[in-house]
Amino acid sequence: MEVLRLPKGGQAMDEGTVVEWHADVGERVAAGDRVVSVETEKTVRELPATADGVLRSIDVREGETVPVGTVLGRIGEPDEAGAAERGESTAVEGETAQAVDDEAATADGETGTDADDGATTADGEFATADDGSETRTVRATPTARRRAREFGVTVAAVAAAVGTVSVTPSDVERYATEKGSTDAGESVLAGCESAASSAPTGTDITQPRGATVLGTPRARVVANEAGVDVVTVGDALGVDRVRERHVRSYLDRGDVIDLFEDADLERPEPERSESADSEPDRPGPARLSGAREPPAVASEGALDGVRAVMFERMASTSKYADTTTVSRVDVTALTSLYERLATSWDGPASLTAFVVRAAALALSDYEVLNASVDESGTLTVYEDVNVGFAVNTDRGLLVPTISQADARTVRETSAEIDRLASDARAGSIEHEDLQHGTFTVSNAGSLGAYLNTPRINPPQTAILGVCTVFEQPAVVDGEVVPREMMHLCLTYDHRVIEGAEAVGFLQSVTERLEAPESLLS
Amino acid sequence: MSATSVREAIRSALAEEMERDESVFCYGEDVGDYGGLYQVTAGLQERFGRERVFDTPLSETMLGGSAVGAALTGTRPVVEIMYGDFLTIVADHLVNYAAKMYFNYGDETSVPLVVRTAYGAGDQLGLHHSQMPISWFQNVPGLTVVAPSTPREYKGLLKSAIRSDDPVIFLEHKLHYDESGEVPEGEYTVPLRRSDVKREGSDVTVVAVGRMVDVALEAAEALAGEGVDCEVIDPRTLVPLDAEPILRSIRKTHALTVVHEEPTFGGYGGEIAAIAAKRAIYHLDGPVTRVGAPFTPVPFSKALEDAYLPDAEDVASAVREALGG
Repeated sequence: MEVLRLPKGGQAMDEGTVVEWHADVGERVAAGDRVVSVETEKTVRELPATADGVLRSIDVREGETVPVGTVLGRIGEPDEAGAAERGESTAVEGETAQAVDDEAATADGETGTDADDGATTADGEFATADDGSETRTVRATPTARRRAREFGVTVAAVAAAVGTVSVTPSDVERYATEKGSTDAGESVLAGCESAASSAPTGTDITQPRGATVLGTPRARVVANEAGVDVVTVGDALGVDRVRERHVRSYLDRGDVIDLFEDADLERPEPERSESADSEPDRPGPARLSGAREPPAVASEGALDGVRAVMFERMASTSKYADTTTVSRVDVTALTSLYERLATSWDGPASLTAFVVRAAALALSDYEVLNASVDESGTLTVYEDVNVGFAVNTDRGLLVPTISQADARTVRETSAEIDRLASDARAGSIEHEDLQHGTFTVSNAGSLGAYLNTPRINPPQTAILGVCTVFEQPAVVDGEVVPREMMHLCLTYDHRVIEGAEAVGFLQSVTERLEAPESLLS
Repeated sequence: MSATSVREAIRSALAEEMERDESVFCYGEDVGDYGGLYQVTAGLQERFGRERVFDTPLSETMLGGSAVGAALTGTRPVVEIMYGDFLTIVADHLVNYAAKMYFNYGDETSVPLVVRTAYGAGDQLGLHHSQMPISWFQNVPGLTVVAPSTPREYKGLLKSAIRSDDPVIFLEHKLHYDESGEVPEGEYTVPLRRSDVKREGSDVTVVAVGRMVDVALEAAEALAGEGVDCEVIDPRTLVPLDAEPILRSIRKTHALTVVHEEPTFGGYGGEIAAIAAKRAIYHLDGPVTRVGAPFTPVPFSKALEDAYLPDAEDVASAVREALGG
């Protein structure tokens, strides 16, 4: 059954007059057909039928003036129960209905045709029971509406089924139980009930314990900066309240935890360090709740010896504008030459010596790389070319100096490298041999490094990194042939050396190494 | 420097200010002849005469009204209210008059009075003589409320309070009077509205008020043995609050515990927690915990009073909770 009400046409409109009915009771109408003309605020409006059907009743006769919201007439099917109960004959019936509806309209002050839609949502302030009693406003308590939402039913449906216009929570529950509510509704309800019943008196409900992982604001900030999610952290560490330390712990461990989880392996329990000078335990749920332990400490202590020097010297380069440029050198000719010389020379032959020689010669054209810089911004360019070269020893990395490298032949340099390296490894190197370097060559290639960007040895301004020799197909005279290749990485302080200078120097070294005979002169 | 009791520190502040400024005078119940219930003003009447150090009838209403009137005439009255509990009786004069006249007249009218009063529990003085009244006055714009924690600050802050053109409630803990500490020789003041870091630390910020500063420092020492490094901050001037040192500390430690003697609900610490939540929420790595008394009047019985008052273990527990232990 659809009802036709006098709609509200404007702010000031509060009543209207029926001018003319365009259908008689019992006459069939189609949705959209004009059914009745009403005059409001001196304009005549046509009200259309809201559904296909038969005009069941005319509740307000032509010429009558009624308030906004008043039911003017009804459209339905001839056999509808409501209509049957109401009887067919109109005038008295209509007046009764009008009186009832006027009351309803006055009570809610806002009722219009829209509100008559039986599909009014459960959230709506008013719902209409679209049954035989029809058009009476259904009221529901806030709790009843919440329960209806939880069950996935409408209060209108509850009202219609229970036969009330004032829906209570127990009406909703009775209706939903009898109806056999939806699975979703049940699960929501079950969740509510278990949460309520499991919360003992005094439980802080703002910090619910459960499967949900929550992070503190600080933990979220740290996690966000690191690009991880607190839920991921919580899941990985087995905690549901994630703090900053959990995020840091997770980040420190990296992917190890996930690997174990994925492989479904037994997780090894790290040994706890019993060292007396280890960090005292901080109180924290990670320990107390049996969460995974931080990594066991094998040893701890201040850096000493060569590492202490390295720590200090490398830290002092933090102000350097380190920049690295790389070249690829075809060393096929060089290695061939080197092998020949190694067998023919009486003394030692060193591939590094060729690089030192090439660098020493190139430095004469690029003086600013043979220099030092201090914090005040003073650049000292050296006339002597003293090339340091890195030597791995038991005591750490040492950098002996080949003094006046530009004045030494490859053979002499090879001998000097041999002497200095032997002394360095034996621990008998003289202090003076470690001083006065103006440029450094570092050969990580001897250890197999494919690309190794070295760090400048302060206060110098540049360092040349020599990488490993490897075979690669290359194009020579239009043919693809195997060639021996090597990378050179030049790290320079861009505060004092221009990029063009650095690249120019590196190209100069590269060209000399690719024409190795020139280095023997 | 010399070891001086809080009682002596306050007395010398009063004497020095009366010496320095003839418009300063002291009065109250038993302040003159008897030298004050806690003997703070002992000897001052003999030294400065009955015109400037005198006794009054038992009427806090009169004490408050006369102090406001005297301050309006251009003098600097220092009134003693025997117990902080009785501030409720003076409250009308302080809240509705002293605090508001500057705003009411808009002509630089100032009410430079100081109300000194003894507060706090610990002496089995029961529910009418043991309260910490800060919360009753922290919501009154125009009042300055000071609660020192060391002899040096009692003296320096009282001198600043007397020189202040705003009305000041100066809270003296009755257990502090016999406490001694180093006080500089000669003239000095401690500025109002400056929070002070009493102990530097890296793990948790503990803001403590009045006598609770000592309790917090005791807790900090105990926690140091557990590897927890507490930073203890003493606001000293409670209203208006110098919050920046507290916020700076939270940005370092990421944890906050507040400690005061009055009941937790409605207590001063709630304001600090709210400021932290507003201005440092993304630095907090756990709940802000509060230490205060239970929401009940101060009991008479020593056993109950001990249970009522926050102690170092209460603070340590709250710190552990803030850190998630």
